[in-house]
Amino acid sequence: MRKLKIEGKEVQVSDGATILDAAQAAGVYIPTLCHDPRLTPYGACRMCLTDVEGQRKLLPACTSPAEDGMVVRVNTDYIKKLRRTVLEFLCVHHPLDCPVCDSAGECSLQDMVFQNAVVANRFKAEKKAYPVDSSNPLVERNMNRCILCGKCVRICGEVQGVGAIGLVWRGFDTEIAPPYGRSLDCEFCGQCIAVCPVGALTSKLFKYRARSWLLDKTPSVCPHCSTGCSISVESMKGRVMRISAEPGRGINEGNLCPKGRFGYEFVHSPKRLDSPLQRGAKDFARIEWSAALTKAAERLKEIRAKHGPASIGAIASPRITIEENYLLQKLMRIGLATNNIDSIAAYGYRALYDGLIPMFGSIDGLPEYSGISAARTILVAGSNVTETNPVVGNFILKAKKTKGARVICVNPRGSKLTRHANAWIRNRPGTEAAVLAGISALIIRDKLSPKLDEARRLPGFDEFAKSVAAFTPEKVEAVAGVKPDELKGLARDFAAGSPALIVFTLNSFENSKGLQTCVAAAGLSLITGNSGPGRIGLLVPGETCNMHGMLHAGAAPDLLPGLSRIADRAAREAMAKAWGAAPPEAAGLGMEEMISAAEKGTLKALYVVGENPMVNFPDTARVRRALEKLEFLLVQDLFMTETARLAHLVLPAASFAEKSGAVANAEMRVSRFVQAVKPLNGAFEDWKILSNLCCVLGVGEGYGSVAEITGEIRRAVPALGDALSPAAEGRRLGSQAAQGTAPSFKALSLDGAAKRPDGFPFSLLTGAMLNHSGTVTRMGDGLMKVSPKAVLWISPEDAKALQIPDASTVKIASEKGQVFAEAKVSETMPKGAVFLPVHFETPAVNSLVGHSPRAGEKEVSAVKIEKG
Amino acid sequence: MRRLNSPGEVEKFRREILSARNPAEPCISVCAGTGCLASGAMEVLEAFKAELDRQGLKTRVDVKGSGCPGFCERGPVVVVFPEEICYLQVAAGDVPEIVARTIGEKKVVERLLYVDPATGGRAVRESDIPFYRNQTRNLLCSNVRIDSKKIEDYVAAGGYSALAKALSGMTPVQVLDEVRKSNLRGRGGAGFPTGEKWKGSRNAPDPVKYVIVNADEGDPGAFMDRALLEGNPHSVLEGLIIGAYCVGSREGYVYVRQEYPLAVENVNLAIRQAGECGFLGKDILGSGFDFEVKVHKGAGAFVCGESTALMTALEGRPGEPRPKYVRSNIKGLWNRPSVLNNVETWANVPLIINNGADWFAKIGTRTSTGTKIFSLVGKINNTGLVEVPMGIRLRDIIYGIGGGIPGGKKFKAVQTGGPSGGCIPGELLDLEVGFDELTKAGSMMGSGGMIVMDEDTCMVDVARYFIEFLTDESCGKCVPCREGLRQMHRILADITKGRGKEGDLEILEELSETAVEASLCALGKSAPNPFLSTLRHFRNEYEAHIREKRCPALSCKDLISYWVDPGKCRGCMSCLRKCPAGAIDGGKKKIHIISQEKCTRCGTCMDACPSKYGAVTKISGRPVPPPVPEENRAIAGKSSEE
Repeated sequence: MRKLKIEGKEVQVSDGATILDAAQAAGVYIPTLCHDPRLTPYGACRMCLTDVEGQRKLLPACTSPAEDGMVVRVNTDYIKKLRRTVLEFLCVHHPLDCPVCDSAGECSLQDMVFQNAVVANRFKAEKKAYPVDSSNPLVERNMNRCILCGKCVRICGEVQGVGAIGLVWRGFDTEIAPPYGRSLDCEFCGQCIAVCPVGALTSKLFKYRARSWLLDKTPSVCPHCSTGCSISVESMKGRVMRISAEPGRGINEGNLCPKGRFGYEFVHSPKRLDSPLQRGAKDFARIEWSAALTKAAERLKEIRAKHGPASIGAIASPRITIEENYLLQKLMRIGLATNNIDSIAAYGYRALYDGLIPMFGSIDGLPEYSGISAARTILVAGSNVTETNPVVGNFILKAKKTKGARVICVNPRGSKLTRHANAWIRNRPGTEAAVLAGISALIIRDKLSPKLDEARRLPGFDEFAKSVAAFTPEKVEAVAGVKPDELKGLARDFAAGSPALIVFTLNSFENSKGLQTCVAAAGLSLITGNSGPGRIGLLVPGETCNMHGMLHAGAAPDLLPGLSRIADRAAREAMAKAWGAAPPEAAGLGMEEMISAAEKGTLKALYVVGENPMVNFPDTARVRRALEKLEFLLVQDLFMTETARLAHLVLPAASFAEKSGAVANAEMRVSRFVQAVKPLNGAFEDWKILSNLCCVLGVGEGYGSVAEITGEIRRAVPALGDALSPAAEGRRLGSQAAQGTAPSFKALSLDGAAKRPDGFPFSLLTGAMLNHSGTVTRMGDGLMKVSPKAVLWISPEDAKALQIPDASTVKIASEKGQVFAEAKVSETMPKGAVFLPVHFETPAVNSLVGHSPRAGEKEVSAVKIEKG
Repeated sequence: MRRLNSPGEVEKFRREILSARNPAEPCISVCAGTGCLASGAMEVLEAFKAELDRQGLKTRVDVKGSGCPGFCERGPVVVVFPEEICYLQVAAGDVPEIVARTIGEKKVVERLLYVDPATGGRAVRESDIPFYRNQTRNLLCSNVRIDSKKIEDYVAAGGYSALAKALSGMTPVQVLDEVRKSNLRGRGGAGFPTGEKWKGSRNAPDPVKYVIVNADEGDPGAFMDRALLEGNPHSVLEGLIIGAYCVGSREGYVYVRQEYPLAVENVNLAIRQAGECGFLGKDILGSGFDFEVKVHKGAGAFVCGESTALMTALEGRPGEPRPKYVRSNIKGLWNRPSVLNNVETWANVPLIINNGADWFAKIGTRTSTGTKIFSLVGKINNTGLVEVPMGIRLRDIIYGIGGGIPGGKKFKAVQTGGPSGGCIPGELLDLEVGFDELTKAGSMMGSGGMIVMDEDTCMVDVARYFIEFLTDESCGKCVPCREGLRQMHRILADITKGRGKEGDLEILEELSETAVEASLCALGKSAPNPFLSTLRHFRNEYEAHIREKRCPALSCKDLISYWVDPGKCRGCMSCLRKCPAGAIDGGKKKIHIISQEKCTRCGTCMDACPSKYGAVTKISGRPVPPPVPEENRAIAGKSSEE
């Protein structure tokens, strides 16, 4: 600890803190223009010079360490004079076009000129005349306003790991620009805009939309991936104008990704549904809400009466709130007496629960993000975290940069993360589980981990050891194409590098990883002593904002709210007490079973809330056959999605910005959407629609507010409900069913290389893009300009062999179907593999992907590529 | 090249080289430094080879391109050994005569010898020439004897014996003690005690350390480091290797500006040869000490001579200084302890190890020990590199070695310390040259630039010139330097253009204060020196510019007028014919008149006017007298052309 005095105030700070940190702790304001706590101190603006007793020179507060006994003064007349001179300098060529600058009102230069009363300038004005650069989709660059603080360059390089811009030329001619005078070509995360202290970098989506001081800021949480970034929804007159993040609030330290910052336009898309629609003979017709709700209830009741409760099912959504998912499952279980409710989690995230709960005893062993900074080794398996969960990617880059963590990627595809990683093992697509098993086998065989003895005592160790023993380095080489030496190095590094964290995604969009990847990762983590209470273990960021919350709410065929098993009689009775009626005893149909049942005609009605199976689920042709066969398809969504087009009745819902409710992120931490604007006229919050349907179906008397739903959850499932109360902001969800059981091992069930059908020589990997979130971000112009379509990523070797030039059209065919897409020749792809992102109706990626015969398992699709 | 596997083998190797040579055999050494090459040294060297070949003397006479001996004013310089006959300004055409007379007949070619301007006497040997005689050439003495492309020449001259000594008989701590005791201070500018810098790095716990040669010599008119790196690269390398051994570094860098192609070439060659001989690489001289050196070419930014900017550039990023709350010898290149020393500092190290700290400390003054190389340029008779003991008086350098001011002009000031140094006026000519003495006089040692100015030099313009240079070279990172220097330059330029106004000096002083106080690195902090030192010693010149719109040195174009004195003009038409602007009206035996509107103030008329008339003069601060009426312009008497 260091004790010092700033402007007469005693303050204590930890070692390594700067004078600026100390001043902030003491509540003393020191102006800065080039400082940001996320960035390496730069010391360029010289606004923060301080007078330290006994020092010959003035010391910049941002870069000078606080030392014991320092007596610091920050507002002497002399320093104020220097500050004013610096501000005069900056105003010599700053255009002072504040009336037409989007940053007016939140501009540091403007504020400081005002604070320091720089009313006159002794120097001749000398304005710059750079052309304003609007050539890229999202960031307007007006270098005339730039004061060269370098924050944009540093955040792009240091935090994002991109380095799309740099300082060009020298001295007075210095300019911040992309290389070689090109147009900005980057991730478009907009972090540069957020850190710009002036109006040199502004958002094109926000340009001339609103004066900053007229915006209402509503603290909320990002609706896209599961990272759970805190955001401010900034709105005016009922419209969302922009999304921002405050460095001091939430887990994201002020960082946002392209989806988070720019993916809000869908809220006010003209394509939003503003009335319930009923399918007529030819087309959809608008109907009144009351008629629509009556119609929905009638149809469901009719079908139940005619075919029984098992003929009805629902698809829940990890994008709606915990309360809404809770209502949906209650509606199904009580109102329609069926447990037929499942979600997209069946194609991905559910594997985490099925894999981890048996091994860790509960789901609670998932680490918090602090595990990333605590880790000495971070193994990222088969996942492009920097694209699917970009801010988690930032944490990993930060851990490497600031804590010296060793980042190891096992991934067939190159990405930003593989570029920054200490080691990149390029395995064959879909073989991450085999590689992880191989590492475990080596650690067990060669006794590489000091924690091995501890692990041996856990139940099931021998079975696990036996199940991975087959994955010798030679076998792993044969299956995954990883050289034995590489694998041995990996095993050594991982075993020696405790605490070690394994990061991977289990996204439904991805066809390469599943239950066995999860089991293999958990096993590896257990044998090296990295999993268990208080340890860091596995981090599995999900694809949507409320994956954990949805499952905790009981939106699954076999789970009740709080993760109790439906088979658990006591749990059912507890629910019956709260609900006044008991949920059915037998587990409902899972996602695959519902689709099969619909295909066979035994499932007659399906209620789809906030999901788009026609794009997001595998085997599109089969999904279509199933949905088209239904007697009644009820879809509740913001847009006329590909799925809604097949519906008999469509109910327009409200977006995240238009409603309130809780969601839980990848570390199961609860945060809340807070209503920032009123719902679009004609659309309603999902919970209101569900509440009304409950009423119509005779389940309770409806809810007047989200708080009423929360109250009911607290009474019924206290462990879940308590975490949802606004007072418990930031708490993590715990499972009602947490047994406190000791970890145990589960045997890996993996047989090695998949059999590939003849004539389909390429492995097709599917997944998400950096700039899109499900199908909803397609509804905003900004991100669509950055990533307007899905292209087929192919290696230069394969492209050459097939004579496919970059940007030409190719045909991709699997046993399931064929699609056409534009080719993108990229070094990031290994030979023999191609990648296609989902999100778009065409190319319908999921029409190439088969559904796996085994629950929770995935198979990399085999395809052939031809010139289109 | 043979590899030497023990320190003892170095001396053996040296004796072998020497025994293969006949000291009585003639050797012709042609300076192949950049200065002499520019004056045609390469042709001279080729001519010698061709001539010796023609005469069948090729095997009997050795010819080499040597390092720079320093007397650039009179290049190309040729020295004939063993007599050490020194020929100056030699052209290829002189070669047959030199070969015939000096090699063939052992006679001196008188016309190519140095002639003392005062006495008219000729000097045969280098050491007889006052320019050399008054120097103490510890570092530069070897240049003329060494072919910088041959490691054998360096070894033959005793090279790498200091390394052998350090590796065989001294612990790193003993090396450190010796360097500390010598009181060697950094030759790059700041004069930080080298031993202390090394000690900091040596004691830093990080196992990875770097040693770096700063060869980013960027001061206008300075070329000390270039001469050493081109002429005697092994001496720098030897110092670097000893330094690495001392601090425990296994990796070193030479950061050399790419505008020094010959230095880059020679140092690269030297590194290769040193590696082949076992002075670099694994297990150096069998001692178990490993050390590698890489050369990094600077991309031409003055600020990269600043230690942290240089290291940032070495890391592959834009060369910008960074805050130095932890010194770079503790956290420097890639955040590792890094010893960065100037070329000349490194070159001093072998001398200290070989001759001992006491020997070194005896040279110079108590606080500034050893010798220092200066590049003596500007209005001085003997332009070139001079190596002098610290503590020598400025007067002895300028008059004793430099031969005084050409053209009988008066000395006005000497600018030392590079662009951000300061100007020292005539009153202080007896100042002893040392780090602290120069700082006290408002200037600094810097890396050793010395620009002499005569009475025709305007001190305001000098300040403007240097501030402009520094404005251009400011990296642009911190605001006070990037913006403040620019404002200083604008105001100074205004003053030299007659647009100065009351209050300008006060604003300049405030701007200087801001730059000194608030800039991030030494470039900005010292940048106002040219202004502050000229203001201190020549305030009257500033005031004349501002108040009277007069340039006392008659140098600022916007403040002077050329005028033909009607009483002296003989109507010879010399000026009229040469005026490029057609600004002179006149005729044979008719008084010439310069049209002030057309005149571009190039000064051609003044040069053209025969000195016996001296009719063209410069006027500043007062109006040009009205032209003589047409009817009175006829000149009586004989015209000059008759």
